[in-house]
Amino acid sequence: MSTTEAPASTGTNGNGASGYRWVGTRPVRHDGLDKVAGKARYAADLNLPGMLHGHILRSPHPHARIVSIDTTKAAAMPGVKAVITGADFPEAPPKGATRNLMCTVIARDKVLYSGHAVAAVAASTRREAKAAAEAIEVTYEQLPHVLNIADAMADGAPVIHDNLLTRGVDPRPTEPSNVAARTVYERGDVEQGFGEADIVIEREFSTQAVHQGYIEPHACVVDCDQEGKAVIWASSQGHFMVRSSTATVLGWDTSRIKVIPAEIGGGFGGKTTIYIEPVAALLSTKAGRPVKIVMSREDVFRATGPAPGSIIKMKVGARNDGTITTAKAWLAYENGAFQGIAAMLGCMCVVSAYTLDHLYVEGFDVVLNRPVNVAYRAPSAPAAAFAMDSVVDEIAARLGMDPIDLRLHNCPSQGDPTPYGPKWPMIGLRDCLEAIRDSDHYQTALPDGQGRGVATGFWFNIGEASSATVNLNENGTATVITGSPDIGGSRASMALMAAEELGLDVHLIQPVVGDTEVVGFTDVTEGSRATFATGMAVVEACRDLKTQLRKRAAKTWDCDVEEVEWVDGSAVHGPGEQEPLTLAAITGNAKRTGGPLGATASLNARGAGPAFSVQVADVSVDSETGRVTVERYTTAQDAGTAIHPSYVEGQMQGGVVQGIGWALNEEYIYSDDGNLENPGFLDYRIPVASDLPMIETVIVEVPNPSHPYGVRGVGEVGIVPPLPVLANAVADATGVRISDLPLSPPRVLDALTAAES
Amino acid sequence: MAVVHFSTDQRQHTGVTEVVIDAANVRALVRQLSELYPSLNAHLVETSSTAVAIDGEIIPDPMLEELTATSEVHLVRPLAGG
Amino acid sequence: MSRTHVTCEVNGDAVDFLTEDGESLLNALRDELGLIGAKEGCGTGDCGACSIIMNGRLQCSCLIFAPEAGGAAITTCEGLASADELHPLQQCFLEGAALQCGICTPGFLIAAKALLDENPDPTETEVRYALAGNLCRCTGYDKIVRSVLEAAVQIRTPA
Repeated sequence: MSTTEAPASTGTNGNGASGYRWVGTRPVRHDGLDKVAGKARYAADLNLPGMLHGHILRSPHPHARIVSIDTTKAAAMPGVKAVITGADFPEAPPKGATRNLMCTVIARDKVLYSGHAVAAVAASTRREAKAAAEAIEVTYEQLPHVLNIADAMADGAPVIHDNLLTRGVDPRPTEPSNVAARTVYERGDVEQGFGEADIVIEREFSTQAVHQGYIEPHACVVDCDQEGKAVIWASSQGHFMVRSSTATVLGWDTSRIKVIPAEIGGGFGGKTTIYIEPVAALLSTKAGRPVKIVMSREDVFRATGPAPGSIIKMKVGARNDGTITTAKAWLAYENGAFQGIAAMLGCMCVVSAYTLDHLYVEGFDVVLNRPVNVAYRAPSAPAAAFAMDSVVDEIAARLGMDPIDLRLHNCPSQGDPTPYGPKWPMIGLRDCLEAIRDSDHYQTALPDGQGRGVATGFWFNIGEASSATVNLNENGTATVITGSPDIGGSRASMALMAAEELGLDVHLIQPVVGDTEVVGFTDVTEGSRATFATGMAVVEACRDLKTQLRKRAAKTWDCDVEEVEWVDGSAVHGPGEQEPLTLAAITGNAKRTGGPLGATASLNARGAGPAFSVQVADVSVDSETGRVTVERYTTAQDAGTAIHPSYVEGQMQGGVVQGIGWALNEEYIYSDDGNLENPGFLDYRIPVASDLPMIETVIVEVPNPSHPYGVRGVGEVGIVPPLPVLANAVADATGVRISDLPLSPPRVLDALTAAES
Repeated sequence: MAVVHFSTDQRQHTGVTEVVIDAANVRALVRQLSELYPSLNAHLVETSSTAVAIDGEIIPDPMLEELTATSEVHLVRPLAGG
Repeated sequence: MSRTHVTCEVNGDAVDFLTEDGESLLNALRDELGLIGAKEGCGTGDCGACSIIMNGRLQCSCLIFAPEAGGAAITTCEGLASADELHPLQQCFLEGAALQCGICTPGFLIAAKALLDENPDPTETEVRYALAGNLCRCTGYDKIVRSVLEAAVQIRTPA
């Protein structure tokens, strides 16, 4: 274990070296006190007068036709105020994203996975609601099901959607199948490339579906009134998304719905969609009372998430000097019950950390009888990196090259083509590779008996729409209102950027997450975009305010506004004939100079900067039990500018540990009859404190030229490298390469035993 | 003016790997592409390639995005993240 | 439905509430007493978000029937701070950025307090094992462990 005296972070930021006064410092977060005092309100913490409790009945079968639903008995039970089924919702279109959302919220003619919502009850108490839901009589006609990629793609497999014709195949098939789409990216001539290669390595990999594992189950309270208006308190990654998605599912106009964001207890992508809000809304409408629905942990596992499992076949060719010339990849990703874009994303990511003359990447999105995929931190990238970086590691070993040198030798730079077509903008992969190479960890000799692995990870990062309103208060403080829920410290980041712009102490700024009626439209917090895009809106609003402040000073001094500069939180008279006016002096006098000061900015953020991470781990492997212990771990990540370095480190460390869980232990285990066998934290084991060492961080700062402070977004890419890092480290420790995750004790033990015999 | 690069499957409809188009924005560019390659539009809809990458950045709702003489354009599917 | 009258001490206050026999202490604390600091992450004792100290022992309040609390002395997250000062653990969690989403934080603070009450000078390994019953999905535990070690120092050597 590393010592606790080690600095929490090394790297280029966190010490004010950037020349900023506030950006790059580590103030206590503004919402922190409520959260350590137990006062912060998450969705399940709200109770309203007269509130009912909702309970959702879920399918026990993975694939079945709903023949009939009889709610008579349930409706007559004590305390029951409303019972609904799929028939109470608007009809879904025959296909497309809207159907997928509507039919995920509640099943219509068919259930498509065990745990699929079928009906719901609102009653006076939780227990009454549960008892009544269980009294609903559903007659199912069971259908054959498919639970994994191989079965779903096999000839003669049971077809889940009889109108699903594979996209991306020319000519388009006329018969339905479980392959929703085929994606191809191609460059050069792979056969020529393999012919020119000195070594060619071909391997097949598999990863298992995992859950985002946020500790807070989905929860909401919905209060519908007699005029048809609904107020929703919900935990989500975007309350405007809750509003639009709920409206879509119910066929309502969005103006009927107001969504008030509760604190969110973790999301990681899993709360970029909705499950329960339209159900609670319909129950509330029917009962004329507020309705609360809180998912159980078992329901969270059975009916939300997951991130997909995958099968990936990689064939990579390299020359003796370490130049990787050619890659051919075949990827198939689980989509769950409805089609998604998992394989497409995997195809875009799989060889992104390498420059290649020849590539052929082919991906298949496959539907099966499991819950529909939801994003999970850098979706699809971890499995893709696992495959590519495992093979690259083998190439390095075969060539006797240092694995970082090999990657540096093949590292793309600005202007090189991405595997999916466009050219790379400014990226920090090389900087991350060098940061790990130069780290104390990599420079320290590997202890006896351990193995060391390194790997890379890539993720796009996304811009999208954001809004911010900044109001200056009469006492010289500021309120910053944004529409991005604060998942991991974004309020503090917004306040820091506003402090830097306005020249105001960060503690005089109150960052607020506004509901759908007090702030402009803001997309979900996904793609590592909150600090990047919403931060951009905050900066733009602050710049507007600075112009206004200069005008007020000019008015006060009776001079031209061009003579006024804004310096360190004060208006300064260029010619020097006036004493500077502080922000507080101007706001205190605002009514006499033209009225209160406020500004709003709404924008489509452009120029999201791609993110890379490089990581190294030392592991030991117990040859008697197969248990893998992570002894030391270091991650380097290109964050662009780190606005609040502590929360940048936190994102990096949290992503790494989720990746460690994915690599070593986590997996969905289904029984042959299609039921999830480990729908709880006892059997779906996420990493705990005693499993881990400290996670050493190196923040690499290659500023994103498209953002006023150079922010790149840090939320996602950290989860990508741990899968190949640990597989490579285990291979180094044992001499046995395992290409199926997770590297759980039984699997590692089997592999060690097989290698011995 | 912009250079449009076509992916492997798009090439089946265009016959070329890239084309130079004189268009002020993406909407005008798509119109011209439809005239040049009548079957391309249906293919883009079919593959949900409703986004455009301009100079490397993927833009989900791009129709009114302005193009410059040096814009490099790829017709792609929109992304989602976590 | 018959309800049981329960009297106990919570965060130093004498309290009483009515509860159904099968109800968990967690639900009673949250719904009857309005103490929302303890959270339900799993309802099966696996995540520790509902941690409380009851009669000096760290417990998952979701695994205790509410009537069992009769006569007990209970500390929840809300009872850690004094009127004018946060508990050193709370202060160190804030300064050490030991929370991201914050849903697990009350449980970690209680589990850490239970540890430091027993062992004021724990090693990193002892902290990690003492907190192994509390799940955090955001932080990777690094900053939580550091903050608990720092709080232990501050409690041992008051300024």
